Amino acid sequence: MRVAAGFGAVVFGVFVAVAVGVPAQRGASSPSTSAAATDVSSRIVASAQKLLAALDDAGRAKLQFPLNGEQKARWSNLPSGVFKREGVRLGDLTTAQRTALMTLLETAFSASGYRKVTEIMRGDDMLLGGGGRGGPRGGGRGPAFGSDEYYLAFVGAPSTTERWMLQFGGHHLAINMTFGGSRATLAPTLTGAQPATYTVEGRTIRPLGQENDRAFALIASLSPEQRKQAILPYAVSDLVLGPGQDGRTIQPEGLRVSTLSSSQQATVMEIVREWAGIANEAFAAPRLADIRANLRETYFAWSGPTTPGSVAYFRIQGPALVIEYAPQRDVDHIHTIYRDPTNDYGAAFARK
Amino acid sequence: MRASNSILGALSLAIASAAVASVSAHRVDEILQAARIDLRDDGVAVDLALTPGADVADSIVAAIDRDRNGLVTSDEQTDYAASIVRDVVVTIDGARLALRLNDASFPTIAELRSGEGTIRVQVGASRLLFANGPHQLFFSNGHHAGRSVYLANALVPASTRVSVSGQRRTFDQRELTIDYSIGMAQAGFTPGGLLGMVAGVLIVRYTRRHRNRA
Repeated sequence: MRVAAGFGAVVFGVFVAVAVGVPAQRGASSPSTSAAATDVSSRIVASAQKLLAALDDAGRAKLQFPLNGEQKARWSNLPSGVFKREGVRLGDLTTAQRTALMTLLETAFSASGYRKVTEIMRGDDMLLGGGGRGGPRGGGRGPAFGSDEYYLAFVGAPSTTERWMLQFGGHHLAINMTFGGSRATLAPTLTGAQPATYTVEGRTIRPLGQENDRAFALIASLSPEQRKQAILPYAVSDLVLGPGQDGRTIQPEGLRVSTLSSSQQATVMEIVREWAGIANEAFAAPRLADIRANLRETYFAWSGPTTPGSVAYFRIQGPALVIEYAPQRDVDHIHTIYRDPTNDYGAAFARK
Repeated sequence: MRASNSILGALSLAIASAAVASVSAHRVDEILQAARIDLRDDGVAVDLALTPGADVADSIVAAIDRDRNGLVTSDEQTDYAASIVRDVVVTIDGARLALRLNDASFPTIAELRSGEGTIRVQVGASRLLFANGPHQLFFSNGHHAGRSVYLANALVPASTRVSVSGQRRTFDQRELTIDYSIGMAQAGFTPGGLLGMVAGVLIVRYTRRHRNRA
């Protein structure tokens, strides 16, 4: 009896060791959120199929790319005409096809994520209205602006079980949303804005306003000692891990988020949500839970003045997260990047 | 359905009356130079990315296209990449490393002139990062100093023998000092690992005790 009990204790110890030793489970979710993700995944695939059905053969050929080809890493913050995108171009679609495409995006994204994406596109319409050049494909004669100049590609075939990627982008936008069954990741995704503030029918639009305001609220909440650790003593002029920097992880710097109060940590998570929450909530919730579980190893770094409205760069970096927010010399032109060093392009989905 | 798909189109039309920013506020009169430094078991690798703004691109094109014939040959590219390497200094514990040009890629002249083309240069030094213990790498980029903005960062080393303990930069990031140490290959040390070790000890003790009683 004592032998059995002793052996049981050892087995229990090993079980606990293994259970605790596993890092924060990617996409760890309750049965209800998992069921919701499965449902959303099915609806996304159904929307993707509707779009495919709405296109002719030539359109489908433009839209579809092999899973393991080069297309997945072909994205940029640059406007069409300067960077040549592949896929179907919004400006080339019929009204019905364009509606099917936007319906797919609405299904894949959260309400706030869809709003952010469309506001970035509207911002590009501002550039077009302000003297930028529109027109088909830009013709390789310089930048082409406007919401017609955004492209959608499927990398891999839409599926509820197999890995595939929805790639949607244009100037200041590169959404790379990879699905793996009932899981999804947005990493890597680039958002940007120029103008960062504009008005439509008297309403002020700031596509990346929440990211900016919450970060300034966080830096304002820090104690002098915390600021000393968070504020980098050098200028950061641009994204460090922007387009073309796949597979690289920089040494983290700044203030450990674990040293912040629970209220400050909540603000950090609100900032993170501005990127992770672009995805449908069914996918965003487990991702945010992952990030929250890793806050102990997450850093917040700041470069620039701390007065709201200033040109300031910030970075949030953890074991499975890199967020950078980089104004381009003025507050009206922003570039940001969102990465997961452990799961860019759904690499972790492929391993399982 | 949430926001109507028609909203985007309607708002696009309404936008014409809205305030408009400048068409492009991309960096035009400076060269963005980004360096990413990788400390490896067998040496140092530096990835340099140079993106000249549109207003300074012509001078870069002229520096590459030495014969001014409007065509850039691979020799001209190699020569320009070599000039970048000459402007870069890397030392370890005060000893200057002999840098080797490993690779370079160039955009088209049109891309460079648009201000959106990036020249990428890979530089390396095959040298052991020295014996176990703390060390210091110094990096300095003097290429087109005065009309450049810089980024300089250490990458997280792939080798578990190398660990970075700190980075210090000049305000403009033209110079970066990396404090690092070389040690034995480190296994991840997690609470789970600790419990696993405890469990292992328990298993060994249990097995020995059981064997002694048998």
